[in-house]
This record gives sequence, C-alpha cells and structure tokens, in this order.
Amino acid sequence: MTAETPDGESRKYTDEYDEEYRYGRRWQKIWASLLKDKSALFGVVILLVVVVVAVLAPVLSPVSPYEQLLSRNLKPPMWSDGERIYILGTDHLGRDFLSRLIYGTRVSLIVGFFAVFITGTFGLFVGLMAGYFGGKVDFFLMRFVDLVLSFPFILLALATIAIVGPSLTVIILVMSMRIWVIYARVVRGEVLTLREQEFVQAARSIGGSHIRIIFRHLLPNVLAPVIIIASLYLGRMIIIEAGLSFLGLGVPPPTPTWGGLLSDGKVHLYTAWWVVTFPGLAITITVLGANLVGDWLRNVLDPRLRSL
Amino acid sequence: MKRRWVYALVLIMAFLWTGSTALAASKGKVVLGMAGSLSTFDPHTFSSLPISMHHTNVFETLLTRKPDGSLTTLLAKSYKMASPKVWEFKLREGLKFSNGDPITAEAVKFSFERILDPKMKSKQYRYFKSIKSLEVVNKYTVRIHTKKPDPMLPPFLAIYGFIVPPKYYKKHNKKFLARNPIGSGPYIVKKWRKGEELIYEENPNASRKPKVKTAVVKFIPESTTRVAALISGDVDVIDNLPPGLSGRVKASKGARVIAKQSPRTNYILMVIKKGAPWMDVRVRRAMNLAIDRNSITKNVMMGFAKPVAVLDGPASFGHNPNLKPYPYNPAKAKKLLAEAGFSKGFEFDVYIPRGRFMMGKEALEGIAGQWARVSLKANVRVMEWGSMKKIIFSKYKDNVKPFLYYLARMNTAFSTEHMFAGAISSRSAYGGFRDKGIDKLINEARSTMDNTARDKKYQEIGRILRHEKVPIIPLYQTFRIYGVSKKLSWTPRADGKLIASEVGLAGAN
Repeated sequence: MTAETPDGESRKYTDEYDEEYRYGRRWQKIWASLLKDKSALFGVVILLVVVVVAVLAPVLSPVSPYEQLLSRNLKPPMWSDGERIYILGTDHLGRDFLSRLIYGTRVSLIVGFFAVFITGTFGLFVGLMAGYFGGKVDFFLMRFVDLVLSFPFILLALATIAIVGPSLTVIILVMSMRIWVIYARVVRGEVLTLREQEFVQAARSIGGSHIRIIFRHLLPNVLAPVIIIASLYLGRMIIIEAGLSFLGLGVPPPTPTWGGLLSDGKVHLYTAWWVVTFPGLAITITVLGANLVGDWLRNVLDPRLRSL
Repeated sequence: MKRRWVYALVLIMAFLWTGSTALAASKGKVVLGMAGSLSTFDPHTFSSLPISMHHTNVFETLLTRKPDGSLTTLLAKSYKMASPKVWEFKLREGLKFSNGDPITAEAVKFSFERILDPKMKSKQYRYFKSIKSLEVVNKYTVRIHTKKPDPMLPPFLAIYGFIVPPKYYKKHNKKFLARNPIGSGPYIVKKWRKGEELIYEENPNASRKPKVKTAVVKFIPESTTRVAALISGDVDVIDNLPPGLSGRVKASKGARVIAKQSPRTNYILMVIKKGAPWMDVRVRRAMNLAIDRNSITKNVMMGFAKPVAVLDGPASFGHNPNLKPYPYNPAKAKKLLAEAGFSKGFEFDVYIPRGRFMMGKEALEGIAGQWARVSLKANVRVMEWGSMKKIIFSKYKDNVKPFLYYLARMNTAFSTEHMFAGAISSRSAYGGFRDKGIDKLINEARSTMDNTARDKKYQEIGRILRHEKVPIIPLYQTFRIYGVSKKLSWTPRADGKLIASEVGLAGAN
C-alpha cells in the first residue's frame, strides 16, 4: 500500500514498523544514557535499595519494631544489653531504633508510590478529557483545577485529617487531593496540540471512537510527561508524608514512619542525637535518589519540561 | 576595610549586651520567659492558668494560697461561716488600689456582682454560681449569701474573684478595661504588647511589695526557643520546660532545673456501658494492674511525675493518704482477665488529644505496650482536642463503640470534690462512669459543713473507688518544670503558678 505525499513522492505506508523502531531505539537510548549518567545511576541504586529494604523489612530488622522495654530507653547506637547490640540505639520507649527505621521505609514508600499512582492516573484522565473534548468539558474541569490550585494545601490537609482522623488511607488521599492537578494541566496542554495532528485526524476520519482515539492514540503520547512528573513528585510525596507525621497528623502510632520518628525524637534532640539524625538521613537520601532519577528521566524523555 | 566594620559591630553588640544585663541587675529587674500568653487584663471575664498567674500580680483576692498550697487570707483579715448559707469576711483596713481608691466592702460587692452579671458572660461564673447575693454590713465587713450551703466556696475565692475599684470600673468600657487594669496587687502593668512582652512595675500603693522593682515577661510559646533564651541569659526563668530539654538546662552553666509536683492528675477514663469488656470490674482491675506506673514515670516522664492512687495528690483536701497506687502485677492481671472470660484479651481504641498533656502520647504508647503483654490490644488514637471532645460527648450513644480516653485535670482548688465532679460523677461531661451510690456519697460529702467530717467522707469515697468500684485508670500527677537562672531566688508553688512578683534575686532577699 502506498500513499501520495503532497510533492508527489510515494513512500511505503510503514506506520507500524516506524512505531516499533522508534520505541525500540528510545529505550535503548534511555538505558545508554543511564549508564553514562553517574548521578542518575546513583539515584536508581538508592531507590532500589530502599525498595528492597521495605520489602524485606521483616527479614532485615533485628527485632520487632514494637517490642518495648522502658528501662532500656534512649540508649545510644552500638549499645549492648549483653544479649545483642542495638546498632542504632533505642527510642524513648526502649524500642530498637534500627528496626523502626527499617519498617518506617515501608510507610514512606507505600505513601509515596500510592499517592503518585493515584494522582497520576486521575490527573492523566482529567487532562485527557479536558484536552480532547475541549469546550464546556474543558472549561469546567480546568476551573475546578484552578479552584484546587488556589486552595492552601497544608490547611486543607490539616483540616481534613483533623476531622476524619489520621490513617494511612486518609493520608494518601489527602496528599493526592492537590497533586493530581499538576498532571491534569500538563496532560491537557499536550493533548491540545496532539489532537490537531494528522494521526488523530486520520483516526477520527476512519471512524475511530472517542475511547479508541483517547486511549490508543493520545495516551501513549502523553505518558512521557506523566512519568517525569511522577518521578519528580515521588520525593516530594515522601517529604509531605514526613511533614504530616512530624506535625502528628501522620500514620497513627505505634506504626513507625520516618516523619513520626523525627517527631517523637525532637524533644530528645539535645540528649539523644540518634533519634532525629537517622530518620532525617533516611528521608534526605531517599528523596535525593528520587530526585536524581526524576531529573534524568526528564532530560531523556522530554527536555521541554525542564521547568518542572 | 569591611572586616573592620564587622569588628566594630561585634564590639558594639557585645557592649550593648553586657551593658544591658549589668544595668538590669543593679535596678532590680527579672525577666521571665513564659509559654502561655494572656488575652485580657480584665480580671472578671475569662479563666485560664496564664490569666490567673498574671492577674495575681495586679489584683488581689479575698483569700489566697501560700506557695506550699495552704489556704490563707489576703484582702480579708478573717472569715467565717456566719450561718450555713452565709460566709462573712472582715477586710484589712486602710488598703488602697493603685489609683488611690480605698478597698472597702462596697468594692468586694461590686467585683463579685460584676462576675455574676449575665451580661458579662464571665467564664468565672461557674466557680461562683452558688452565690445568691452580697451584703455590705459595714465599710470593712461583707457577707456572701449562697443559694445552698457551700463549704467549697473559699478555695475558689483564692483563685478568682479579684477585687477592683468600683468607680473606675463603672466609668470605663470593657474594651478599655481589658488593657488598663487597676488593682491592689504588688505590680502595675507598665507596658503590654499582647503575646510579646509585658512589663510590670512596682505599685507604690500596694501593701505587699514585689521581690524586685521591675519584672519583664516575654511570651515565648516555642519550648526550644525558651530554653535557648534562658541559657543565653536573655531571660532569668522559664516555665513549661519539656522533660526532654531538662538535660540541656542542667548542663548549662547559669541555670538549673526546678520541678514541683502539681495538682494536675493524668488518668485514663473508660466508657463503662453495655458491650464493653470493662463492664466487669475484674477487667478494670486487670487493666490497672497491667500498667507499670513506676517505670512510666521514671523512664518516659524522666522522673517528672508521681503515681497516684485515685485522683488527687497529698496537697488536696480529702486526699486519703492510706491508699497506694495500683501495683504492677501482670500475672494477676492475666488471671483476672481469664476469670472474666477474656483469656485471649480484646482490642479497643484509646484516644488522647494532641499536644495537650506533657508527654501524654509517649506515656500512652508505653502503657499500650504494657497492656500488650497481657494480650490487651490498645489502638492509640491521637486526636485534635475539638474532635476528641465530640467523641467523648457522644460516648453513651448506642452506635458508639465503648472506648478509653486519656485526660488530665488541674486541681487548682486543691479539693478532691473538684476531681470527683470532673471524672467520677455521672453528671460530669467528661467522665465515663455512672453509679448512683457514688453520686449520692459525693453529694452528701459536698453538703457536709464540718471540715473534718467532710474530709473523712471524701477519703472514704476514695477508698471505695480505689478498692471496690475501680471506675478509672489513675496514672500520675505531672510536675511543673522550670528552668531558673542561678542568680534568682524563687520557691516553686504547689499550685504550679509562676507569679512574677514572687521571683527575687539571690542575695537581695
């Protein structure tokens, strides 16, 4: 099958082949750039380690993070009770700090990934709808986005959690309430330009349904910015969760979270440095990892989004 | 060139700093760094600890408490119960307010009527709602008539009921009076910037002299900032020192830690109603026996708390000294639970308000850990106080699952009756225990006019609660902890108040 170009030249209709070729090359390029970019590689390694620690928490922790003994509280790192060594010391209730830190990884990652997933999916959907249908749909969705954007997030989070009461689900949802609009706006912008392009026009002219056009033709083309935002916001989500926990609005005790450990430790700052230092380091390193990966993904996938 | 400027600046700063402290000492000045701020200087509108602490410097009450907590007279020379419904007060003669007006029976009548005036909507009304009327007998004698016999009135007359000059308070409006107080206390307010700084100056007309001429109060709500200000010498004394920061003050050169048991009792209440495992008194006893109070006070509260047997400490009227706190006996707790049919334990929620009670969350987490050892699974829920109050007030509704909740009550009246009214009586909004027999005993004790007999009755109620009814989980009384510069001389008060006019300089008497 051949098609005529405007200048009369004919070429083979090789859409499928092209697509495959393009994507294959793309992933190869990404992999190559990862190996070249030392800081990105470092970020990936950090995230991998954090994920492994979270998954293997029961295996890696020396004891249960809930096992308390008040008489051994606030012991410094490498303290030994004769039976075993507490590598990172103990907290104010005599619980093993290393175990609590390891288990805290789980909450941070669960919150981070779920919040990113929910916001990504929802924001992507809203953005696609607004961009593709335009008109009234676009108007109402985008005014809603403006409304959400104009709301002070911390206030919203504090009020919601104060009323509903803190739990893992509530915290993930509260954090998602605000962030999805970032995706929605970027995706809508992309779709606005994409929907006027030939391949969409073509799909429409051969009778493709809205659903087919949106999910078959538009979605793959806006995935890149979504992935970039997701990776950049993973670190931010972890920080927000830690912040909420620090304010006492996070996952309720005794579940260990990094922000919660910091919050519990802040009153002992002057006498027991380890109860704030280690969770602080854990947050910093993880967020650093997520940001390094995010930066690199942005550079590789879509350099236009540098402002993010 | 630039560096020279920096040196000059450092020199100037150093000079200013040393200059100001040297000057302060010679003139007799103390600086207090306090956590809680006050909203008004109208002595008859609100009630709170910061308010009663500060108003005490500027105004005087008929009665007062000595630092050791004992009740004594202040503006009154003597007082007696003239008849069951009449308290009679003889005032000290020849005293003056800071504006020169004399302190008379008329002023006392005016001041109490101002509190009782419904238009004032005074928060202090609840302390004096038993008052029917006041009667001026002569210039220095005043009688308080009560609706019912009220032996509990004098302790409240030592907290609120500040006496003000009628002429001045009639002349000005509420807004003006909130900022321009006139009283008879040792200090007058020289300057006040709400929430920032308050400067007291000696009242020339006062009968009681302050320890130093000028007292400056700096309001510093953030505890680490307060500690830093003390250690750097910016302030001489701070209140509400968190236990975790006490080590830092101890390690400093210029300051020390002073702690005093306060009448603030912390306890866990239970919603005792159908469907609750703790309907069974054996379960309630087991929950008490499973807590190692000594370990909690020593390790979590860092020694700044002392276990109590029921609801009050030794300073309270009606305290039973023969009652001991529940011992730690997990084996017996397990046995009692098994007898009650809960050998496998049960799960429940226990609520605590955020940031309201010193180390409350930490202590409750520790207690939950100790309960876990006898198979009781407590879910600690940290709540905003507003939301938690709603939960507490809905406790007896059928669809509300029975729960536990951690509260504390400040007993500035030093009376066991005040604690019973707030946590044990069925009529208490915050309590979770309903027992007609106990209500009757409390009412009986309250209307007993003879002090010794009343004391005995309260002690007996205490015994019944501790050994038979077990309606609550008593924990401990927390200490009030202060950081105090070594150049000060100051005795902490049993009622936990830091009163500026009582703070003196060491060696200056």
